Amino acid sequence: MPGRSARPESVGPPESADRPDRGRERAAALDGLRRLAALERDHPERSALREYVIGEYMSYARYIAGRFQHRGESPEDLEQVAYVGLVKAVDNYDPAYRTSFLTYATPMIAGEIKRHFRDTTWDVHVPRRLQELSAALRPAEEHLNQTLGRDPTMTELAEHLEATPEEIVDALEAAAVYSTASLDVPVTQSDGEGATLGELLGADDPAFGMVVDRETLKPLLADLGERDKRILLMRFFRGMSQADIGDELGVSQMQISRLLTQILGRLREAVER
Amino acid sequence: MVQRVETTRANGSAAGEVESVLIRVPAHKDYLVVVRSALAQLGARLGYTVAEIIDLRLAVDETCCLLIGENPPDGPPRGDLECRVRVGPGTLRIMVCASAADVRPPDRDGFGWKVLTALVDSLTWVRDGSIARVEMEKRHSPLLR
Repeated sequence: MPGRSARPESVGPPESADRPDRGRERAAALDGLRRLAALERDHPERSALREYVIGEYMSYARYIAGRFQHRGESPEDLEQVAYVGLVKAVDNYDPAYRTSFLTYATPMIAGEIKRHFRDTTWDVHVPRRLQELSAALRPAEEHLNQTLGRDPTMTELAEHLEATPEEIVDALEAAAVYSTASLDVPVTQSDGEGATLGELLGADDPAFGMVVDRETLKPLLADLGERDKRILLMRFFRGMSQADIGDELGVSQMQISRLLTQILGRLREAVER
Repeated sequence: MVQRVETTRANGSAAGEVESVLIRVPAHKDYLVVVRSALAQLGARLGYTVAEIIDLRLAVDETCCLLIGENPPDGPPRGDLECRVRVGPGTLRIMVCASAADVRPPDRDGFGWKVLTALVDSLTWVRDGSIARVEMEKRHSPLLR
């Protein structure tokens, strides 16, 4: 069919394009849903049927997840959360609702994703006062640096922000990367798509073969953020695997891999300059 | 689980100007926040900058993690982690120790150790019989006025 691209009839997930029998499949999935709703909870056929129906709608869940991309969460993580929403929708859908399954499932899946963002965004964990202080820290530091001609001490910062030094330390703790909550996950870069096999396996970080001593490292590290320093230490000092670091910081191993590649690349560049 | 935080004010003459702070917590991840927050608060009181406190806190946290070692994060803590801080003029000397049983000695030629040493002014690893200890010093930069 030269000059013509196959377009799906329905506004669904893009993969329906290369699946001509999509309509029939959807009918089968709908039928599955209806039968599922009618089956007793402990019916022997239930789990196989449930799996089938979930499998049928997974691409739709991925499609919804795709609409939430570029908010700093990895696509894989988003999809996992979307699947959780889908499973809930399949388990709770009742044809007696007289709405189509997708009408019912869409807000459920989206709701699951939104809840995920809410839970992994620190504002649920950190009191408002600390959040505000935390956000004010950096600008205050810069301002004082300008007026004093050097980095301010914590006491000076506290005075400037009309807080106690204790509060400033707490705000620092809140902003630090000791928990999932505050890890500011970088938005996946457009060129970050081509993860290498090594990254996927998390096997080898770009070997840090260069000769670097403490005095060379010092100014380089000073330019790194706290998160980056911490990831470096977890990986190379404690010898944790990328997957374990990801677990501890609440992000995927892929993201840790990307971050490490970025950090090491920057260090290497600076050393070789 | 006992958690003890003691502050001892030395009687001037014996140890010169030095005051010391002793923090002892169960050797478990959940208690690290106590140690690193205490260190950060001490740094703030002594006029450290944010960057210095962040580095100090990272170094202390990583050191404690090393010393807690292979203790299972879900299991009960095995023994205590002790952090002794000597507060001198413009400097904090920190000694963290714990039972060496579960501790894997750090690779002191490795990149990770170099990163850690670059965050503080001095760093020493000591294995003393059944005790593993890390000593470090963090000075604050003199204020240019």
